[in-house]
Amino acid sequence: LLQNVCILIVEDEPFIALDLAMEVETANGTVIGPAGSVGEAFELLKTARVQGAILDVHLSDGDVAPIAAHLFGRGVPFLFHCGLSLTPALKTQYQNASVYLKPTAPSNLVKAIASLIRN
Amino acid sequence: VANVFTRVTLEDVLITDELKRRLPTKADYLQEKLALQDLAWQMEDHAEKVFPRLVMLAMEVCAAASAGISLYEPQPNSSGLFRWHYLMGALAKFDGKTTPRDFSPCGICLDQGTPILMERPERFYNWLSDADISLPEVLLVPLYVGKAQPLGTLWIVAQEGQHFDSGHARVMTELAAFAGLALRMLRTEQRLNETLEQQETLTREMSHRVKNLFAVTNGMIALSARAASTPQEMAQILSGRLNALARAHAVVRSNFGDEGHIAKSAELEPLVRTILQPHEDEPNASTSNRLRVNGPQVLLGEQGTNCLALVLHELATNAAKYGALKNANGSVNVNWEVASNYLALTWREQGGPPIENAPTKKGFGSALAHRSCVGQLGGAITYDWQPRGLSIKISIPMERLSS
Repeated sequence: LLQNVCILIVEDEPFIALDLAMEVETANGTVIGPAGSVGEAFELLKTARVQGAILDVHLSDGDVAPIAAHLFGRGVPFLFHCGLSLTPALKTQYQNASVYLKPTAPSNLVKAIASLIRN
Repeated sequence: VANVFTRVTLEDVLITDELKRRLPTKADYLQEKLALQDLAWQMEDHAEKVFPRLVMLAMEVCAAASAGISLYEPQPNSSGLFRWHYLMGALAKFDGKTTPRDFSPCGICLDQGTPILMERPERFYNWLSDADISLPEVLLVPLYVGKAQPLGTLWIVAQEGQHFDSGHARVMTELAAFAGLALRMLRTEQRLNETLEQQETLTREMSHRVKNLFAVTNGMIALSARAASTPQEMAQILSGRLNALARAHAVVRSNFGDEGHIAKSAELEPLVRTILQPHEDEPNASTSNRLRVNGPQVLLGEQGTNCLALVLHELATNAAKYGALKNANGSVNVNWEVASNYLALTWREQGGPPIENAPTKKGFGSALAHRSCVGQLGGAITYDWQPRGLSIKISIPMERLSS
């Protein structure tokens, strides 16, 4: 499903992060991360090229908005995977974004990001 | 002129006894009744306006030149001070000024607990004359919240001497008592509201936490399923992790923080001990203290507690499977210190099977420990595979641990 595709995973909850990472690998994708913070994600994006991203919203060093903006600017598709809801700012900025509430099965998230990349 | 060379004493300016000699001119009961009614109205609708209204009424009832309220403010290293509020009339520009608790007319009034009268107190209190304030005659009435708690004073200044009489003192005492009651009601109401808000915060946070817990458990189950080859193994891995969280929860204490939020905190040492305890109790252990725990007091927040609990659990599980805790006489040393706002924790194993070289494949446990330390806590974890035993260094910023 994700053959030859690099997926950035931003998620600070270790269990969810690793579970997602393994699901991406099961789908033959390459995992960039998981990054647990905005800073860590930016560090990874310096060297890695990604074709898609799964973003948790509330991270230890702030919300994920800077990463979303970075990806959006480069036309990289992403989806939000969040505990409660998007921040109001993210909601207005990315009105058509795919938002998945936790818990969502990792296999569904992988399917979703794969179809975003295809389109 | 004769007084110029004599030092003015408190007795010279304090002339409360004069009040008894000055009989009230005909009491104006109607004005008094209207004033009380007015305060009562304010109390019901705008409790916060009771004090300014009291000052206004004092000005009217006493035909005063100026009036205001001094509220007592305790101070950490002194007996405190009074701050002037709601000033009206000639002295209005001094609103916000402070005066010392132990050297002021207000202080005397609160000490005596009754209305007092002073004549040109600036002769005695130099801070008054320094500020160029002259008070021909000033009547001070103590303000209490409810019956006992002194709050400050209401003070009323006359244009000329010989102004105040016992009637003024009586009426103002009554109005002040009424205002004190209003303030007590206001405070009770505020406390009630705060408690209700706390309750709501608690409920909201509980719901948030339960939701989060489900998400975490979900990930935990999925991940444990991936790592296990049999249902029995999965059950074992899963219950080990859930147990670690439950044990961590048991050392957490709840308390309300400064802003009404619920703060949860735990100490590092009991946490380390409770997580490692199942391994200490193992029947095959020959040494009674195979776990040595040592370090200063460190307070952990809720997230820090949960993360560290899981990390320590994974390390212990690993040690029991492959490392020092696999052998009957193996031991683990856990030491930590806090330096430059970082917790530096060392996990040192010895007495386990000799290590030939570092493992080539990273297990789930160490991946999880890595994610927790780096991703969740913004720290670092490094492994040193010494032949005599694994040594692990964990470094985590304190501010993240306490959140």
